[in-house]
Amino acid sequence: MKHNTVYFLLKYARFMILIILLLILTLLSPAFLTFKNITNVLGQASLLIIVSYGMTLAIITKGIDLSMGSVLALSSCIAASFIKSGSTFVGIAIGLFIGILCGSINGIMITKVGLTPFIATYGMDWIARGLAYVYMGGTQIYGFNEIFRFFGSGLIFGIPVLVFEVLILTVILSFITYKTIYGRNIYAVGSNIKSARLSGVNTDRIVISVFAINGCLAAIAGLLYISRLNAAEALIGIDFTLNAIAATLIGGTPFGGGEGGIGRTIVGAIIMTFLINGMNLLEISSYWQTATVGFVILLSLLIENTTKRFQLR
Amino acid sequence: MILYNIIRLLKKLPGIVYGLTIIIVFFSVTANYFFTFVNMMNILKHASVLIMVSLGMTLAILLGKIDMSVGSVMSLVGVVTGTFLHRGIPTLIAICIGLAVGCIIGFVNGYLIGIKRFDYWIVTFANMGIAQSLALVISNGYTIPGFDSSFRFLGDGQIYGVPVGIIIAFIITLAIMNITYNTKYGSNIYSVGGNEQVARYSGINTGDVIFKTYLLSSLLAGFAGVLLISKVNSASPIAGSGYEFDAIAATLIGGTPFDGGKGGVFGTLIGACIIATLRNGLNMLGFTPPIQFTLIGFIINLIIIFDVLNEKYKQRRGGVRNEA
Repeated sequence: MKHNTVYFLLKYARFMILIILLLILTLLSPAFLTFKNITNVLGQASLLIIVSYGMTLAIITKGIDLSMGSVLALSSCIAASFIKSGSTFVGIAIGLFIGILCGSINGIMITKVGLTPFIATYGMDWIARGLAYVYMGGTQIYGFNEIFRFFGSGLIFGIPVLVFEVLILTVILSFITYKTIYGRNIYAVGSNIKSARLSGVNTDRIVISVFAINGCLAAIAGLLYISRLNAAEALIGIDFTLNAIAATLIGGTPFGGGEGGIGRTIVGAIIMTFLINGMNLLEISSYWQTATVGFVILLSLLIENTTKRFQLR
Repeated sequence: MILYNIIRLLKKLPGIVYGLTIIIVFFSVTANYFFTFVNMMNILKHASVLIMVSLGMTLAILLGKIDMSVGSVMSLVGVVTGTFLHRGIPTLIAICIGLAVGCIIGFVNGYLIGIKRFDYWIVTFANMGIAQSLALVISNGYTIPGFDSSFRFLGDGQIYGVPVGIIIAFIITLAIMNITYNTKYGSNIYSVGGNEQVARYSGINTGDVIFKTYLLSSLLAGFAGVLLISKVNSASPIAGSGYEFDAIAATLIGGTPFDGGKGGVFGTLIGACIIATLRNGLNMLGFTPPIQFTLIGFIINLIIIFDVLNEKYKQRRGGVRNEA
């Protein structure tokens, strides 16, 4: 009986974390529960949610993608130069293409060459960031046209457009992962790649495509980010990678692969965004942020570990 | 007869030594001031820092694991030591406090990975973020400048023209070599790296071995951090970031593959020299920092890919395939 209660508590731990967090922040900071702050946080959360979706897919296949922050920067910087020169949609297309290209290279390195996902994507992280620096040469591109800015900073009935875009992405990705054969194969590859291969799944193709989707999501997040910020530079998106890992893990997609999903990550990403927003409102030095994210990752690993022990009993 | 002996000696040397020679010759021909005494000393000073971090990384990779937190631990130890030095605390005590703080990160790594059996990638990656953040918090984002000459002697001083740093690095390498080849703990590292399950069943306390190794890795990273702030005469909170990647590369070039249980510490010494030479040489050829950044990323990636492919080829030739 006692162990049932503990199991229940652990299973819904993340909802309770979210509720407790909201209560604490409302009590501590009068500026927190205002319409302006909440819509602002939702806008921020949207970008993190998009990147976290990619991270979730990678973690489900028992991989990880450390390059998302840099791919985000590279694709948005190159896209920005085209958008600034007037050809908005060409810029968007090129941005997405670069994202997909980087992601596919990650996938090929992991499957065909045989690198560990960590090393392959960490190498890509350095290369993409370096190329972004070379391309921008230390300058910034700012001031985009109204059409492009609408995607990232527009409002519909007072609610950020970003929220609607995230909803559309959520529906598409949920459909792919939960309702299609391809989606089931992603889980199969994650839980046991060898048995998936032996039962006729083309595992290489699955992994490469997942990382390509990853790159595409990073590029989408990058485009929306520069549209919201109204500026692009090589430095953007550095902390996205670690935050996305934390959001995925605290959301309840275990690091072991083959479990979890898109739906859980939304909660995780919202927890992370509220946490960071709350720290800003309480005027805690921004240098603490990375440490907090690190602690959240370790905490969620502990929760995952304990839950697993209770399940085994 | 003498010629024959020389040829036999040359054959015994590992291939990476030739790699290092080729790189040095290449840069000596292409860059004007590369092959000068001052520059060679510069390279050695930089290499001594890299050797220290790489030794810890090599031990972790010998276990079949990895330690991503070393770069941030370097920054953290550097900042802590620098802060205490500026408060007027004696050099030796300040260094010890810094190293102790670094060891806390190693302790957390070791406990979670060795005793709790968490995934080593994610734990060390999270600790990388935590250590980096703590370094920024402690220094408040500022670089701590200027130390007294007795402390600077560590990283910048010379004995008969040889940098003190490289002497320390060499002594520590010898010590680690002794540990890995001549002690029970050392052979346990190889056993755990070769096959963790078999090692556990044959009575080795694997958790303990892993715990000690991560502690040692952080301690070595801490040494590197102290040496680094002494060398550049200032403690920046982001001084160590990126060193983990160089350390991985130095280890792989030095002939310790990711599989674990194979390779050794001596190769890492040469591997670290290769990376240090590469960074210095590209600098001398006049590449701007962003291009350098990308080029070295490419080169290191190529080396890692080559290493993995080579391993695959060997396995295939031996008739052993570990995948279905």
